[in-house]
Amino acid sequence: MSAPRVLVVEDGHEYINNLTRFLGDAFAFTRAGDGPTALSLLSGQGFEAIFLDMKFDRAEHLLGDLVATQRRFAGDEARARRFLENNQGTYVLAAIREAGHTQPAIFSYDFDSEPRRLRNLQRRYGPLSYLNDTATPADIRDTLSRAVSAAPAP
Amino acid sequence: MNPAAALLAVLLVLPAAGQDGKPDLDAADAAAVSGRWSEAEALYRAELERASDSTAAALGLARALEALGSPELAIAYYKMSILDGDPFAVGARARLLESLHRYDEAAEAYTRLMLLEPPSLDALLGLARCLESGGHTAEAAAAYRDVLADHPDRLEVRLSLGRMLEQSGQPAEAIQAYQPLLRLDDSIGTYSIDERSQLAAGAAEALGPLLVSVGESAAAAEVYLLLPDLLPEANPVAWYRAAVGALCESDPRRAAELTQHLAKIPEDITPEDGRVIVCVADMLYEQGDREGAKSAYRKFLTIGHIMTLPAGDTERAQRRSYEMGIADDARRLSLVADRSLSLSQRSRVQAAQADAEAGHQKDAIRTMQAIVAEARSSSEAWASLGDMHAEFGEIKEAEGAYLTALAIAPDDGRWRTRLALLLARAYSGRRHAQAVEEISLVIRSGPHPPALRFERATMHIGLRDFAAAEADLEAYLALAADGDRAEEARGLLRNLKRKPPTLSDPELAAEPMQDVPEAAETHYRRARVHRDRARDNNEPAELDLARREVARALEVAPDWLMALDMSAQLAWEAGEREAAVKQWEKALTIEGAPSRLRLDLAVVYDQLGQPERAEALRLEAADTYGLVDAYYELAQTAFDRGDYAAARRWLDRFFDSATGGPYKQTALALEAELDAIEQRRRLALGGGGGLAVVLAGMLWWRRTRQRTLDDLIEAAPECAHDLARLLSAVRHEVLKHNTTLLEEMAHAGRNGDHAALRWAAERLFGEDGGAVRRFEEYRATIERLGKKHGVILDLKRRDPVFAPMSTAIGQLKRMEGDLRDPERAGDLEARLASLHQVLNVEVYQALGRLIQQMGTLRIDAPLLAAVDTRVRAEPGLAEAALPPLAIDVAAGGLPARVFQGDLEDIVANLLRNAYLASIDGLPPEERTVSLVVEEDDDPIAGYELVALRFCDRAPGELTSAMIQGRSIGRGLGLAVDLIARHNGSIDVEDEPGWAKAVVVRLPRAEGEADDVVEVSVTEDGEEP
Repeated sequence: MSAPRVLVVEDGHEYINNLTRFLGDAFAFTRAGDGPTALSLLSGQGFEAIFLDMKFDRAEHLLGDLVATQRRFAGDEARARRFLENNQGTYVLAAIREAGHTQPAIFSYDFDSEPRRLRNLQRRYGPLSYLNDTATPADIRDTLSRAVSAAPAP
Repeated sequence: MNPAAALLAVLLVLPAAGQDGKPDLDAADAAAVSGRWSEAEALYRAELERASDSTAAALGLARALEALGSPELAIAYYKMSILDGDPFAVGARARLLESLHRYDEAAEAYTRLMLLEPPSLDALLGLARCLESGGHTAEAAAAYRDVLADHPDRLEVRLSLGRMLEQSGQPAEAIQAYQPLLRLDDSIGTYSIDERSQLAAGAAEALGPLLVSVGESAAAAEVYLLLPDLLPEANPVAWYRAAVGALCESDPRRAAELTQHLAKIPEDITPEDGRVIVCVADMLYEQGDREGAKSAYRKFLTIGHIMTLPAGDTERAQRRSYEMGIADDARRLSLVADRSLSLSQRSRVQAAQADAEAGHQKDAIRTMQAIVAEARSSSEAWASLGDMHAEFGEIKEAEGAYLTALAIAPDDGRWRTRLALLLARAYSGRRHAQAVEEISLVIRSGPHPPALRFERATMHIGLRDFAAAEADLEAYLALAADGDRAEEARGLLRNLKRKPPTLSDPELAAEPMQDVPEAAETHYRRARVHRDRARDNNEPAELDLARREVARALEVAPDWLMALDMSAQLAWEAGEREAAVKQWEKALTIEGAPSRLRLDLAVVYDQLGQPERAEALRLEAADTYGLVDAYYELAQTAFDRGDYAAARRWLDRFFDSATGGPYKQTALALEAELDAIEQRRRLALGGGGGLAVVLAGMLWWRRTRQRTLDDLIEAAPECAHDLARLLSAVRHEVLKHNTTLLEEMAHAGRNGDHAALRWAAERLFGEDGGAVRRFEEYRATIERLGKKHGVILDLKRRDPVFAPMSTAIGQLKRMEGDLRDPERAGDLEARLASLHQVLNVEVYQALGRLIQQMGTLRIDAPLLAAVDTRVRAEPGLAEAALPPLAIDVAAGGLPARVFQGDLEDIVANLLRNAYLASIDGLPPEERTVSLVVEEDDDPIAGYELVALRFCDRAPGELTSAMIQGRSIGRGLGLAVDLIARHNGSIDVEDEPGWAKAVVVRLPRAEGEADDVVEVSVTEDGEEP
């Protein structure tokens, strides 16, 4: 039986490297460097779970309406861009769900201090869980395992 | 007929009788002339027996009996029918009858007399008197009239007539009888001035009540008021009382004036005084003369302290006095709507404070005065001006400013607290009582910082009310067991509760002085005894004896240190300073001299104005004898003369050497002062070094003004954003990313993993100080932020979050050597575990709470209404006809991530804009503005938002672009910046039923501690 496949969406390579090193025996990880790439990979391949970074300040292509966001921040383009970067993970997940992909998603983002926001995101984009700042490799393994086991059958 | 004439008449008759051969009658007459009345009586009787119709004998016998004091018998003989026609006999009989109070008979006799001869004055008066005395008032009045008809100059008769008319119920006639007496007309009669005055006074005393009885109260009062002049020797109180009583109802104001004569001496006070005064008070009250009534009631109640007054009158007087007092105080209150300072005014306040820090006193005060001139009804402006004056020691001006702030906002505990602290600290205790009253008012009025209890406790100690001080200290500790003054409070409480012990003299085993001749010791002992007696009994003569004895001891043992020291002390006490110094200097040359002597002598040289010698002694004490406290003293004296560089050098040596001791805390405070001076010098634009040497009082004051972060947030809410950023940075960079290692390090210590400890040490301390240095830099940055906002922070010692953190970081810093070389460190686990608990649990959570508290604001109806009220009171809107603002927000409000000051400015700007636009284009009834606060959300990122919808009907175009482009001014640019600062947005949207809605969206606060994720650069671009 092949290992469950997990799409890792991050603007760098830290997660893919660490996850592969520590959990490569149990999961097969594939990296997408931005939202459009993630959508492309999801449409072509089957993944049991999606591992998402939140902040994408190194990504070239950002999802989200920069113009509308700029309006929201009083025309401040830099602030608008920063908002999209800092919350890009939610934009990616929104696009993923809009595209019809329902795999469980895991944010690598500490929602411990934002329970209401987490609930809102879970309501909109569930199934959704997260790993906080103190997560150990064992925690990641458990979380991924649960997510994968809850994934709908392909 | 007078008795002499009668006797003569008898004697003239006698020769004829003698010729008839009546020797007894002659002898009787001779005896009567000689005054031998008994003999005369006997002879007259014999003569009557011989001749019972002898009128001479009868008359003579009657006279003899009268002379012998037998008036009844005399009357009987005078009444003999044979004498009935004799005027002398009848007159005598009348007089005797009157003297025996047989008035009716006397009246008859007088009447008979007037039938026998033309009515004499005596007979007329006699008759009138007897009729009066017999109670025949009408007849007496007629008789007195008859007297006056013949003798109109008899003024006393007029008095009697008036009296009779009064008694017979003819008051008008009585008045007519009395009144002429008041004229003191010296053309009538031959009376002296005194006699006339007495008669006039009699008439006045009688007239007064009569006039009152006929309703002539004003005239009665005037009559009473004549009496003090008529009888200046008499006590006039009763007449004034009567005059007041007479005028009470007809002319209460005049009566009130006269009450000044009443109740001046306790002995003169009667219940009648109370009656007339309360009558006056009641009349004045009813006539609306409140001041007069108050004064009269006050006088009445004063009488009530001396005697019991009718309860009803007293109750009425108290109630009316109280009511009038309340009404007067309420009228005198000046109500002023307290206005907040605008953002620009607050900025100018901060600029003024920066000027003050830099020593530009005049500029600072001028700026503050200008702000106050603009915002005269801002209690905050006045209080800030007060702070400025206080900063520069202008106590009178500071007090005036604080009082003005209180007059505007009497319920604001902050200003009252500042006033109280000014009174407590600027008068060396002289106004502690007033300071206690002010603070007590703040404490009684509602929630208050626990520190006020501590402050009041210190004032109570100054007032020697130790029980009250204990109570306050206990209350403080109950409220703030871990407060920044808690340790100090516990110390004070311990000392207050300490009972003086009963100590007996220590039992010391007497040992002979080594190497001291016995004679010297003997003289020394005697010197001690004399000295003690001199001190105990204040007897200078004993001091001389002590000096003599110790001099003898030194003659025997010139190098004996104890004797030298005593000799020096005695010389000093005697005022011979140079001699004393000479002795001490000699003592220093002797081996074994106590090293402490050098410091004591240094103090002496300070007082003698020889600083060089003082410094040399201190240096010797420190360098040669290891008395490190001397370094502190050197630092202090250098500081006092303005040599700050030297002070810093000496302080460094002190801290390098001292591990504790009584000077540690004061040395830390001196260090802080030097830091402040150096800081001011850096800020000063030339001009010679900012403030001059700080006086001890200001130093103390500055120390007591060291504030905490809570104080900063309260005093300058506009700094909350920058502060939150810095605190988040501390929490993240120092704690979360560095000191979290401590727990692992403790484990490593337990397991003997030295490599791990060294690695962790490298991480914590690095090559340039690492996380520890980073913390110190952040702390300094925060303190600079405080100074920028006019608040002097003492994070290291006073702030409840930073103080323990500083202590823990300090301990960590001191462990650096051990951590880098753990093999030689010994047990580190316990210390590391303790630091972990403090930093990563307690401080981390406390910082999180603080950040959350600063960054979370519940937007509710009262908050919005308060902002609206302030906006409506602004010039340009105060007179505008504006309907009430319709506020729609959930009960309890919605929590947003925004600082209160910023939110208030945003709301104020948008409301102002809506109102001004409405006034420009709409009639009053259509100028409605509505503010709806509701939940909203971010469509993608999951954030919840709080939306404030400002709806109005003003005509004219307004778009999001216009607002965000700041093209229309009116303060909206500021609102846009503030909104952006909090990651919010502002848009113009359509709103059914309204012309438009300006919608502000702000992040909704979560329930847990929120770090400020979005780092915002401060105005000066400062980043730590």
